[in-house]
Amino acid sequence: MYRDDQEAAFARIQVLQKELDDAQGQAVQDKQRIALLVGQLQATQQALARMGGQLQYQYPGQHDYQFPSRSGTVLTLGILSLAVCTVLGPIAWSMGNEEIRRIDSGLTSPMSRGSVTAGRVCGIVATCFLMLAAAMIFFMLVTIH
Amino acid sequence: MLARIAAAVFALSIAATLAIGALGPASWQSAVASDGPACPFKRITGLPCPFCGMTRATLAMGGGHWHRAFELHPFAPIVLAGIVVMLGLIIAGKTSSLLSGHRPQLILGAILTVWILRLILG
Repeated sequence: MYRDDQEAAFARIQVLQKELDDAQGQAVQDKQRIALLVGQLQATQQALARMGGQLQYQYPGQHDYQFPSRSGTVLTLGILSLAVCTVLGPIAWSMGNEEIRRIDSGLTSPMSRGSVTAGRVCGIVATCFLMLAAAMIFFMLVTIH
Repeated sequence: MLARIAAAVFALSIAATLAIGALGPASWQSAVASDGPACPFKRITGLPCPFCGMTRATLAMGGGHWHRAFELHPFAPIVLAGIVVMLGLIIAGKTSSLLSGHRPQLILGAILTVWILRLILG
């Protein structure tokens, strides 16, 4: 019942939006009708918002993605690689690369691109520290007699 | 590609640490043990991170000193095996398998579990 109400409100918004577009597209605009439609549209949008807006409608540009976003994992690993242990750097980096490849391919939501990039950059920095430490140890071993 | 190269270098470093633990002179072993990667978390908080002691534990495992390795890190072989498996997957270009299903949550959960047990066990 609750879901039906939301769907009805969403359908009403679409109808009103179309009527508003038609009214605004006419050569001689009926300002009174446009104002009425705008008022009705806002009232319906507010009603939909009050219902919680939890229903996932297919707005333009919104898709069902093949893979769930792993941005949280990449960001967590990236932060851990910098704050806790550099060992996790290469893992965060490569996981971030894979996640960005999925975003670019349209397999994962692009909404989380920022988080993935942040985690990936943290992983790259941590890997640089790790490589630096490895290089320092290597040169130290070379100079030991 | 760069991430795979970095993972390969890291894997080689682990292999080199094991080899130094097994065959290297004492001066090399002490150099690796004392000048290994510093842990910023331990430096700031005084608490060990999930991987603290792993360089020395890897050296000890290379030399067959398992008791010493478990003293340095109670889960040293498991942590080392986990890191090697993950690095192997990265080098092989199979990172997608790390992201499939609930594996990301499992990886983070394993790190957290090791950390908590490490803090409890001391």
